[in-house]
Amino acid sequence: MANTQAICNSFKDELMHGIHALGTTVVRAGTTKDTIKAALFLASATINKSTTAYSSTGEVTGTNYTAGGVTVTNATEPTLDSDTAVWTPSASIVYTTVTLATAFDAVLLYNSTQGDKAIAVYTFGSQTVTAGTFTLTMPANTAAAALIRIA
Amino acid sequence: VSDEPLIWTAKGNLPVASLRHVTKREDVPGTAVLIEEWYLGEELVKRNVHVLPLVGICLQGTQANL
Repeated sequence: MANTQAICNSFKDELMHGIHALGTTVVRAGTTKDTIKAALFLASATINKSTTAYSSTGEVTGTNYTAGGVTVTNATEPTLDSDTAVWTPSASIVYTTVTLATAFDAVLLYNSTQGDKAIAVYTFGSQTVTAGTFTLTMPANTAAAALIRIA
Repeated sequence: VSDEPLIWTAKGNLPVASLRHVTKREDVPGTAVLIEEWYLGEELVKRNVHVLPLVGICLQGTQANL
């Protein structure tokens, strides 16, 4: 046998479960998962890796779109796929019967339970929607494709 | 009451047959965007957009040597 230096796979998974607090953390109300939301941003906005929390600045506006976006369906626990911790929403993110006339190209995932703290920004090319549906289909929840991966 | 199929648009419910239906595909790095558009004459009255699928992001954990 030999020892091998590594970040433990279980740690990667447990990060997404909020198990470890290597720094000062927050008092949580319970053990339930947080509510994750998805807000759309204009192509003219500036959201990126430096974004720390959701703000309505630069967010789309339009018919049937509510500021803050929609709640993400999160029925699947973070898990390990091989050496990679993975998490993907369990359903498509859908904005139904909206009119978004100004071009948008990004969605911000954020934690509405924890002060709207930012999670990730995804881009998909500049779009508009007219009295229609905007659908973000989720990738496979695998080490190669999941929406959030820690490898 | 007409049995003519209708479609909801920015102009209200309109007969499907009265609209011109256009489908497009845009290739975005790592994914594709499918677009459906319905026109009344030259006017766009409905546009659906479908991202297939959203591209995930990988965070690479790296441990230091002691």
